[in-house]
Amino acid sequence: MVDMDKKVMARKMGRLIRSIWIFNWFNSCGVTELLPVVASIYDMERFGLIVVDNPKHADVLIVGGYQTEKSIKRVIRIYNQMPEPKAVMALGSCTITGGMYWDSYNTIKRLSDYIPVTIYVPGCPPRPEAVFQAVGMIFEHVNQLKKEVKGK
Amino acid sequence: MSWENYMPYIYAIFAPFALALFGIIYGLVLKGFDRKLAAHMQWRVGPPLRQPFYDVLKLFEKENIVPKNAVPWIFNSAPIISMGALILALLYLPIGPFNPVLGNYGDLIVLLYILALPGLAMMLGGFSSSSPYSAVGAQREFIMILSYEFPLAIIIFTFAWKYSILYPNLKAFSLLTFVEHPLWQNVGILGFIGLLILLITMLVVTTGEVGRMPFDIADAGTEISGGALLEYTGKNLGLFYLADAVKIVVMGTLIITFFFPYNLSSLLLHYFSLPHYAWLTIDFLFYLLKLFIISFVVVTVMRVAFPRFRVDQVVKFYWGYATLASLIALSLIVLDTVGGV
Amino acid sequence: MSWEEIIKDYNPTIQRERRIWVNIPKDKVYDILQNLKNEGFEHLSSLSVTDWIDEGKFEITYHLWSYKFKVLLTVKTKIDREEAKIKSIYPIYDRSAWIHEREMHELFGIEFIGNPDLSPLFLEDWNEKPPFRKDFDWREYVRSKYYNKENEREKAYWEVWLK
Repeated sequence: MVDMDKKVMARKMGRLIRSIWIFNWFNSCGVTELLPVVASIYDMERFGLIVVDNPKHADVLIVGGYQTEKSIKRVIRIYNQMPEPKAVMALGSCTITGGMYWDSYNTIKRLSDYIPVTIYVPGCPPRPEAVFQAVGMIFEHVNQLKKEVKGK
Repeated sequence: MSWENYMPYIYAIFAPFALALFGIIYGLVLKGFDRKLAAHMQWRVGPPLRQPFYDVLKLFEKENIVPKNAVPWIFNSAPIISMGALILALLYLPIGPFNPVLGNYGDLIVLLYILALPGLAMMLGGFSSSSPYSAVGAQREFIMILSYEFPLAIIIFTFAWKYSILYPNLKAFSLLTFVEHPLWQNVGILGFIGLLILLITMLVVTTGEVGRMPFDIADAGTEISGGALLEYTGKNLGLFYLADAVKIVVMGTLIITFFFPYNLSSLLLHYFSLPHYAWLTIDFLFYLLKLFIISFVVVTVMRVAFPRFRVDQVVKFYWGYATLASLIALSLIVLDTVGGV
Repeated sequence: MSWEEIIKDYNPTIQRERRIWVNIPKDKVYDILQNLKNEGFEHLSSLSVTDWIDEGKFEITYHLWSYKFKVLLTVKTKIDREEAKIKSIYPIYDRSAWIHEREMHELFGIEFIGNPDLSPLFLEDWNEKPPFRKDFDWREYVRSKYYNKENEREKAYWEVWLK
């Protein structure tokens, strides 16, 4: 995110975490344990998260699975289309260090070389509870930021 | 010049703001109920009831992006036209026990034209954003407007014709006539069946007008990535979201005016005696309850039960089945009136 | 001529029930495949390439399935590795052959004469040798492109791949 005044950022993030709209960009198996998150038991709509269908409406871009040289260009384009304030969640080990494909000639090894990543969720593939823990960490971080700003 | 002389002017200035506030807040409350109940129908726990308020507050914090090849003045004014048309429509409708604010200055014909404006604004917004997906979405919105206006017009003209026969000295198209003389007790058995068919057709037309499944082809998510609202972000999208919420209130009020304008006060007046303001409050709360029931049937149940139609299926449905049903109902009511006399 | 008579001269091997292999010289492949398609082998299951680097040849394998006889016929040819050119079977098998030959052109560098469009499928901005060839050192390529030898944490990757 661009540098904003801390008070403004605390207010914007405070409003953002109440209703997060997600855009998915999945390549392969990293996502298979994320699909139940939308469904009945690990219901993600109770926290206000819904899935939208184009990046211009979205706040968070979830990048899952290995990215190739061809698809990382599209990811950068999609990231540039999202309006501020925005965040990126890197899902799965393949986006953190290359994962299972660390010695492949066609995949990229670290997602953070290409776009700024807010939170990493390790796992191959990560369990649904891991995604909820990640979202919870973002909530705690924003609440702490708001407390700091209010305390000043 | 005393205080009372200024009352009409104060009322004229104060009423649109109050109505806009009521429409927005109750529309968002209805949306919250819709998401919560639909989630329970799908065996999940849905978002909290205040979730649409959080959505709107978040949307107004986001950055506003105007595409480079778009036409800026149409692009930025489309949500404002949509919102303004809906608040104007609220001024012509009777809200609960209160008479319409602009009751003497327009009637159902003006309302029919005003109700076409929000769809047209969404269409203009879709065409002016320079994206092929949004052009497809705007075309589909245009097809929707062409489709559902036909049965709606037949329903309105059926009612107006019946009123012009029953009460020849009252204005046939005025909404006050509709409110004060409900039609259910003035028809025979054939007319009752005709009115029932008209009610069902009106409910189906409302689902299409509000833009929910199975008729949400304009804003089809998975097919055309957002449709006509594709390029909108930030406060423009927030205004479209609010307009969507107010539209439910407007269309629900229209159904209540046509078919269920009953008030609790006329029923309970014989048993209790309360001051005038208490009766107004009770009637207003009863109106909110009726609006909630209509929103539940028209929006939530239809959304959960049906998938999305194709474009040609929507046109065939409205111009084929819905028009046929409303014409049959019209002929039944005519038969009932002419045969009885 | 039935299909058994077409391939009889080339020493077919019966691997097991319903699986037959046959090796055919390069210049006769096109006509034999055309005849086989007319005889009932209408389905091209797959087309693949093996790199025999010691002999200096590519071996192209065509898998043909017949619905009528329920037999999988594997036709193999060998072409020269330095000048890898062969006539494309797009006129016989249409789109199925087109996409397989496109993939093999991108990964091995074989040129199929007569194929309408040989643009790359998976690799964008690829300036190196075709990656499935056995003399393309993919370990060296990945090491030098993605992992920095000076970096403290990535030095381990250079040490792990000991040849």
